[in-house]
Amino acid sequence: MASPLQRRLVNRDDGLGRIAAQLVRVKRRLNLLTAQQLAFSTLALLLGAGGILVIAAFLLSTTHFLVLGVLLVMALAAAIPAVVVRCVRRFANFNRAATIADERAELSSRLSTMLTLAQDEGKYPLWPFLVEDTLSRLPDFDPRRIERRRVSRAIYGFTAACLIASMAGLMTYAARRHQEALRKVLKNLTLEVDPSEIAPFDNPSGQSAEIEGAPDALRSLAERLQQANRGSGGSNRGALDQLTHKARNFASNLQNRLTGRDLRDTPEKVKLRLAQALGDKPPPPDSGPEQQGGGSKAAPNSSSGHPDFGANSGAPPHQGVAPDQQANNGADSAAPNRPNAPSDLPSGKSLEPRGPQGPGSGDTSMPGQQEGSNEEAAGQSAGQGSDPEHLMGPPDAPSHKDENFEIMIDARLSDRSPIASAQPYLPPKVKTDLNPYQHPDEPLDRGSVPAADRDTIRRVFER
Amino acid sequence: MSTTLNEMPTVADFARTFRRIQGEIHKVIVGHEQPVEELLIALFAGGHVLIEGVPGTGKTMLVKALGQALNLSFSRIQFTVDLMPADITGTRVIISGEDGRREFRFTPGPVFCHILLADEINRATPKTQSALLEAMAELQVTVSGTTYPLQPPFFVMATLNPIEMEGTYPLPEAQLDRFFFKVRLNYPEESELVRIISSTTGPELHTIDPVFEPTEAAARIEALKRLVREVIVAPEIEQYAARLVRATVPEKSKFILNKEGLARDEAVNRYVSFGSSPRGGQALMLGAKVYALLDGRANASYEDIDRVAYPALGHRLTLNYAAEADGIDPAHLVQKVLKSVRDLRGH
Repeated sequence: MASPLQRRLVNRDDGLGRIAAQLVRVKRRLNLLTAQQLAFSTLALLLGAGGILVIAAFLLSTTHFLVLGVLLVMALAAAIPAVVVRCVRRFANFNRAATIADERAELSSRLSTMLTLAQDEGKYPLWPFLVEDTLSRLPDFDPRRIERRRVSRAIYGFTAACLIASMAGLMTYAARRHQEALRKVLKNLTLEVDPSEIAPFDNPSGQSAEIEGAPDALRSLAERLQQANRGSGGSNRGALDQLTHKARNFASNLQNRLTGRDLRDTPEKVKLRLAQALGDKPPPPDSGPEQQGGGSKAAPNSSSGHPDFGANSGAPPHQGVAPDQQANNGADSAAPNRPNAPSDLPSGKSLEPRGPQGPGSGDTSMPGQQEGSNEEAAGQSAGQGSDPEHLMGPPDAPSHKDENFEIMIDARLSDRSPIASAQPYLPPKVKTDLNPYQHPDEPLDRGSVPAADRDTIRRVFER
Repeated sequence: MSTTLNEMPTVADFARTFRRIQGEIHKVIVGHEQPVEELLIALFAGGHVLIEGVPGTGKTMLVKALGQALNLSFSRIQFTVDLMPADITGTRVIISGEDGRREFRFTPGPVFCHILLADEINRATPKTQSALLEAMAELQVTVSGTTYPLQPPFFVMATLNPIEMEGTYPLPEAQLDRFFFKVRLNYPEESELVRIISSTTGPELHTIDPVFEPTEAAARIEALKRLVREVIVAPEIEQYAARLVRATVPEKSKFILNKEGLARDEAVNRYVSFGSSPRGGQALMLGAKVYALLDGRANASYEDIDRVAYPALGHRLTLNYAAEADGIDPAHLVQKVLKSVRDLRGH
C-alpha cells in the first residue's frame, strides 16, 4: 500500500518524482522477493516435513514414527509462524526501500535523507544540489542493481523439500505398486499344502510356532499383538495409557496408509489346496451340501469370538495356521454377518476334506459328527464327536487309496485379530493313567479320562 | 575559483579548495595525510585542534604550512612555565601622546591573529592555559573589563608533547573539551623519512603557494565554513550521533538522570569515568558535514559520522585507572561504542 508521501512524490513531475518512481520499483522488487521467500519457505517446511514423515513411515517403527511425528508437528508449529513473522517484517515500505537502496548502491543516505526531509525541502539551500546529485546516480539504484535476483534464495530450500517429497512419493508409489502386484498374484494364488503339514491349532509340544513373513507385516503383527495384550490387561488403565494407546493407533493407521499397507480393502483370496493326493480318484465336481453344513457350523463359532477351542468351536478365533481356522476366517470375511455364509461360497471352496464318511461336519472325519447339518445339530454332534467312545471306536479299514480331497480356503489377508483381547490357545495338560501295555490304537478306559480333557485327547488323536 | 565573495560556494568548490590546500601543505609535510585532513576539517568546521606528537614530527612545520597556504595572519606562542596570560591576550600599557598626555592603551597580544600556534601548551600553568579558553570558545578576549573581538577565522592549534612530562601541567578536561579534534602525529615511516631527509637537506626548499589572495582569504574561508553548516542531515543521522555520544557515558555516572541510551558496552562502563560532552556531538556532526562535502554530497551519512568518531570523541573520554592498568586505548573504546550503536543504522 502506498503511503501518502509516496503518492505525493510519485505524482511530481520533477527530479524528485523520478527518483520516487524508481524507488517504488525498487520497493516492488524487494517485496516480490519477500513474498517469494514467504511462499517458498512455508511450502518447503510443509513439503519437507511431509516427505520426512512419509519416509519415516517406511523406515521407523510405530513408536519412533509417533515420536518423530510429534517432533515434526512441534517444529512446524514453531517454524512456520517464525518464517511468517520474519517475512512480514521484511516487507519494505517506502522509507525502508530507500534505506536498502542507499546501502546497496552506496548512496550514503542520499535517498533516505531526501524522503525524510522532502516535506521541508525549501528550508535547505543545498536541496537542489542533493536532488540533482541523486538524479545523476539514478542508474546506480536501478531495481535490477539493488536486487539482482528475481527468485528468492528460499527456492533452494523449496527444491530440497521437493526432492524429499519426491523421494517419499516414489517410495509410496513403489509400495503401492508392490501391493497391487501382490494382489494380482494372490488372486490366482494356490498354495499347495502337504497333508502332513496340516496340524491342529494347539501345539502340544509347548513350543511356539515360528512364523515367517515380510518384515513389515511381522512388525505390524507384533505391534498389534502387543497392543491386544495390553488391551486385555484390564480396564484400569490410566488416562495417559489410553491417550498413548490412541496415539499409537492413530500413528499406526497413518503409517499404514502412508506406506500402502492398509489391508482393509484387500479382496484377494488365497486358495489352499492339498497337493498330495491321498488317492488317485479326482475330487468330485460338486462339493455337496455337507460341506455347507460344515461351514455353517464354523461360522457362528468364529463370529462369537469364543476363545475356547473345544468341540463347540469349529475353529480358534484368531489363529491362521490351522485349516479349520482358515476356513472360519474365510467365512467371516466373505459374509461376516451371515451364519450360513459358506452356502454362498463358490463350490470349490470347501472348508474340510471330503472323506468317505460323507456328510460330515466341518471338523474332521469323525463318525459322530456326520449329523451336523445345521447349527444345533452341529453342536450336538461335536459333543458326541469328542466322546472317547466314538473317538476310540473300532477303526475303519484304511481305504485312502480311493480318496482324494481338496481344501479350498477362502481367506482375506489380514494381520489383525477380530478380537482385541484374543490370546493364543494353550491346551490343558492331559493327565491320564496309561496302561503300561497300552497299544497306540487301544482305547483308553472311559472312566479314567477327565471330562474336560476329552477334547484334547480327541485332537491329539486327530493329529 | 568559480565563485565570487558574495555567493555561496558550491559543493564542488569546497572539495576543490580543500584538496588544493591539502596539496600545498603536503609540499612541505611528508606523510601525515590523515592528520592534515583532520586539521583542515577542524578548520572548516570552526573548531580548534590539539596536536600530540613527539618532538621533530613536524608539528610546528604543519601549522606554519597551513598559515602560509591559507595566506592568513599567523602567530606562535611558545608556552613555558613562566608565561603569563597577558602574554597571550595582550595588556594595557601606558602610552604618552603627542600632547604629552599619558594614557592606558590596549596592546593586543599574539592571540589577535587568524591562526595561533600554542606550542607545547602543557608547559604553561593552568592559569595561562585557561587564558585561551575565552578566545577559543567565544572568539573574544576580555582585558581589564574591556572585551575585544577576534577576527574570524580564528583557529588555534596547540601542540602537546607526550614525553618529558616533568614540570608540565596536563590540560584540564574543560580545556580539552574545547578542542574540536585531537590529532596525533606519529613517527614517519621509513619511506616518508627518506623523503623528509631528501626534501629538507637539498639545495631547493619547497615553498608554499597561497591558495587565497590575502584580501579575500578570510572571507572565502568563512564562506566555506557557512557552506559546511548548510549540509543536509536527516533526523535519524542526528539521532545516531546523539546516541553515539550517549553511549560513551558510563551507566554509573552520577550526572545522568535518564539512563536510556547510555553505554551498552561493558568496556565503556568499566574503563570510562566520564563520557563525551555535548561538544562531542557537535564535533561529530560538523566533522561529518565536512566529510560529506569532501565526498561531493550535500547530505551527511552514517559513514561520515563513523569516520569522524575517533578524532572527535577520543580525547573527550576520561579514562580511569583500570583502563591505564589494562592498557586500554581511547580508540579501542570508540570502536566499541560504534559497534554498540550500529543497530540504529537503517532498516
